[in-house]
Amino acid sequence: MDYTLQVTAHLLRGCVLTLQIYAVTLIFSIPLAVLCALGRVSGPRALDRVLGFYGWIFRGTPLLLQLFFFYYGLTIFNISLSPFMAAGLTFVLNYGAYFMEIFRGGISSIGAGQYEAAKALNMNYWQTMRRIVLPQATRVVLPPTTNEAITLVKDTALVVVIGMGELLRSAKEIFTRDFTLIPFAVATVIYLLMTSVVIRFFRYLERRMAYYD
Amino acid sequence: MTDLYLDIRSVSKHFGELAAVKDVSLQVRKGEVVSIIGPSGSGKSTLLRCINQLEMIDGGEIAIEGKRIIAVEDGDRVKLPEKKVKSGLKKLGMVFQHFNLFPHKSVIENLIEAPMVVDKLRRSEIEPYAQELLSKVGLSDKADAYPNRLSGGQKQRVAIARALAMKPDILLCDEPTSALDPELVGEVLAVLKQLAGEHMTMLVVTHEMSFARDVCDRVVFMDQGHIIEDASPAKLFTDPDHPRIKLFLRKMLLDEAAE
Repeated sequence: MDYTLQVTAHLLRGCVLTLQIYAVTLIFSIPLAVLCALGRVSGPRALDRVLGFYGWIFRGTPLLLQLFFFYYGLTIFNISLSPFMAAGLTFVLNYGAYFMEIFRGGISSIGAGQYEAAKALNMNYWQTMRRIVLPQATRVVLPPTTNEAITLVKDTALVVVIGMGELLRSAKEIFTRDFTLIPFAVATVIYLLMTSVVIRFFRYLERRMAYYD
Repeated sequence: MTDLYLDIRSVSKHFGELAAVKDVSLQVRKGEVVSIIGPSGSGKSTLLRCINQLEMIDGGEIAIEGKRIIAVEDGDRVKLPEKKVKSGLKKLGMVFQHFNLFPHKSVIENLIEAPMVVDKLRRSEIEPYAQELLSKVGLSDKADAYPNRLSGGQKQRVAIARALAMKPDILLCDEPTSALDPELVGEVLAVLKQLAGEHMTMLVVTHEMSFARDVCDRVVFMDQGHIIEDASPAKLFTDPDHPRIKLFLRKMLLDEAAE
């Protein structure tokens, strides 16, 4: 039992980094994605093209490859990022691309009548978006956003490839040292706990937003 | 000419090859209730939507209370002072065929949204008036309900109240009863009739011949993008100049009798 506690304590230390990357990714990628989605929906065609290209690159290549690029690849341009910076940037841009497409779909699902009503009431573009369109779109995008938020918990494990000690790597360290499966069992439990919290949180949001049924 | 509330001059609107509105002129005076009738596809709704710039005209000009809000000369938009355009558009209210209520906002929130966001009024400043409007349309008890819980007739009455909450000088109604079940048409028409009685200036696109005949000061008949007659209901419904109108009326009145 003592051993399991020791393992858990060690893994929880690794967990700190996992949670940091998780928080940074959500905090920055969601606003980025909202702006990009609005740009795609209501911006000039050139902006739509540029953002479409961004989405194509980041959704069309492995996250792992992107991680390599921002950590190792940028050094050929004499840019050297810390592992955390590289990981944060990669995850924000990658998840931003997915969220952008999700949000774009959500915004597009709001019918023309809502825009016309807002315009007839003399609301301007930002007032219409902020007060009428985005609140309704939020509800539409919650389920797919939940999926991404769950995937992100597990994707954080990829940062080991740029030498960062997160949860899963901490488990592997103990495994190689002691040759026991206990650290993997504990890691499993911790991952499940984290994803459960995410699921709970989004389910709570969904219920809160269902008030107008 | 300050009593000339709405002045539409030689307005045209194309959708690609299709000319929806062709060289239409129409004037509405203060307190007048004017209905636009005609077969579907005749450009009635398009004309109405051109007035508050839900569609952009490609010819002619529109003025509200003497001030131009849009003008197109030789295919080019005339630059008009933005403030005047905005203040002109603010005098217009619109009621849609499909209500277009904000589903995520309660009835009272639908009414106070634009006054709060556009006119920057505090909730306490606008809510008493909004409540007054709700009781006027007979929906005081629905203030906290969400639109999904309302019948079509109730939704449209909320939509009318929402338009009135911005204190428009002119109310544009785009087929306000066309999406309603027949038994709900009456309650919406009653509200419009009441507004007409209070001398609200209104321009109503409608298929309700009885409303056009009994409530309106003037009836405008549109066909294939043109106004082919603009007359008092007494004249238009009994002795129209145009044979096309006779034909249309006979069909519509037969349909109404059949119901």
